[in-house]
Amino acid sequence: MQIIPMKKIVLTAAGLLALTTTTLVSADLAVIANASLKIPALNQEQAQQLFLNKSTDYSQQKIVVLSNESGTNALFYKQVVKMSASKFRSYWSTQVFTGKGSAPIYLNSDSEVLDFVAKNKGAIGFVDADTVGKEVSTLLIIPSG
Amino acid sequence: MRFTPALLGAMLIAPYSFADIQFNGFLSAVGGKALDSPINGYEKDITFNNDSLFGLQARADISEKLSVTGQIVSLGENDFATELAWGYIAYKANNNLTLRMGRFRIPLYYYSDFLDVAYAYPWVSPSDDVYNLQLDNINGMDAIYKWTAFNAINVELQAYYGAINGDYKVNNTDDVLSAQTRDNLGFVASLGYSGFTLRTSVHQAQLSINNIDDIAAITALKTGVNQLTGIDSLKEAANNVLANLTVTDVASDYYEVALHYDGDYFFAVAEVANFSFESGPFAEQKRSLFSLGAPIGATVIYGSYSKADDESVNLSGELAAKKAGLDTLVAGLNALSTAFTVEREIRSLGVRYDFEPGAAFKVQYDNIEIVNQKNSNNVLRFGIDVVF
Repeated sequence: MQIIPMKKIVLTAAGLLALTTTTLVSADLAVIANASLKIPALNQEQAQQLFLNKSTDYSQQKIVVLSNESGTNALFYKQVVKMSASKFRSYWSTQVFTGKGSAPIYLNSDSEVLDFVAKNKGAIGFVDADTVGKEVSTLLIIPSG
Repeated sequence: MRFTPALLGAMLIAPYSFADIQFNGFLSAVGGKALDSPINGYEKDITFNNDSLFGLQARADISEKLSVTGQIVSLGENDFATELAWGYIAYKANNNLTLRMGRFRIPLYYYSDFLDVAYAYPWVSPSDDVYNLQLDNINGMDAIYKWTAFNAINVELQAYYGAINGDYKVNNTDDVLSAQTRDNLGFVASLGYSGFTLRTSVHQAQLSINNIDDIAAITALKTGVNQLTGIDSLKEAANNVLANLTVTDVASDYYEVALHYDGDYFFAVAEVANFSFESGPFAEQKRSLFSLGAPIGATVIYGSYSKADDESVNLSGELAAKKAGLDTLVAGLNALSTAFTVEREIRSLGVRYDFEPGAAFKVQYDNIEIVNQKNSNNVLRFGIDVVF
């Protein structure tokens, strides 16, 4: 019978765990803004207020929502605005049809969101953190899992 | 304010180069039937007009601070006549303060501002007991001030001033009164913390109804009471009665308090409203509603109870006490008073199912008990609400 050193077993287990984490769990979420918006790093509550049109700290935001069925999208509703996607839409209808805010723009991919946020003054959105480049500013990272 | 379809079409296709225009809309297609006798616009056969509506909004940001918002709404209950529900210019003085001028919703209730957008709430429509005032859009100006207190409480204050000209349909009759209010003045305060919102509002206005004599019963009663003013012993009592049969610059006061909770596991709404008049035939309206519901995935199940417990006006005054033999006249005055008094309880059960992004299917069953007529009716409604 071969004896496997204890240390090696632990290392193998750790390696397996690391592998599962990277393959099964989706990436972190990055809240991004157009570079013209002078918004410092945010915490979750401040990001929530921004996406729900409740913030009085910064003016004229255009909200962009990633609408594909990605883990990033699920993370946004669960960890940032803390409401279901349909409740978010329902909430926004109360803002739009009372003239209190401009309707969020729903886009289908990280690249479309990045492109829109980079090009539109006052735009705020969120994408998979791995896709963010220098064209936008990152305000908050929500870790996955 | 009504627009012809041609003018409306022109508004929609008119070229604008100075600003981006955002169009958003909402639609409710609702069918329903009265299960017993006709009530609330529903009859024994299924009809689709009463709660159906279509709305379209255009918003243009003219500059960073200035924007224009217009909303046209076609209500099924008005044969889909298109009306300018909102049309105002807004000036965002800073991040906290917005000033508006034009036509907007009078903020009487918690759900006033988005009453037409049924997608925004769980019910097919919020209870008629509280949400019953028909003069709902005002021409005037307002100021909205919002800020976040202690980094946690969202505070919003609104003050408005304006005037209304509108039609008012008298409860369950075909009589339509032409109502005017002047010097409308109101304040709204709303506090939001976590899932809770507490809202209170006070409003006042001078109400005039110039065509009140179009109600045949009122003309007949006035003729009857006028004959008594010649009798010395009845003169004062008769004049007091007559004073209540006209409505000119009558001071009216309205106040409302609502508590709303919306959480992960349930939502609850409680709202009370009181509407009173210094004189005239209209009862003091005492209204309340309570609703509770729970989301289960994409479905929301809810139940509601609401009550109208109006206090009628004693229109016959001292007449009966002063002189015997006026029974017919007194009975007529009492009947008129009752016609302006609602005593009703509504119990509702319903389901909302969000079947697509921006679209919800709803079914609602209402039991409507008209207490002062010992009359119980049931209505079943179903429909789809969308926003786009």
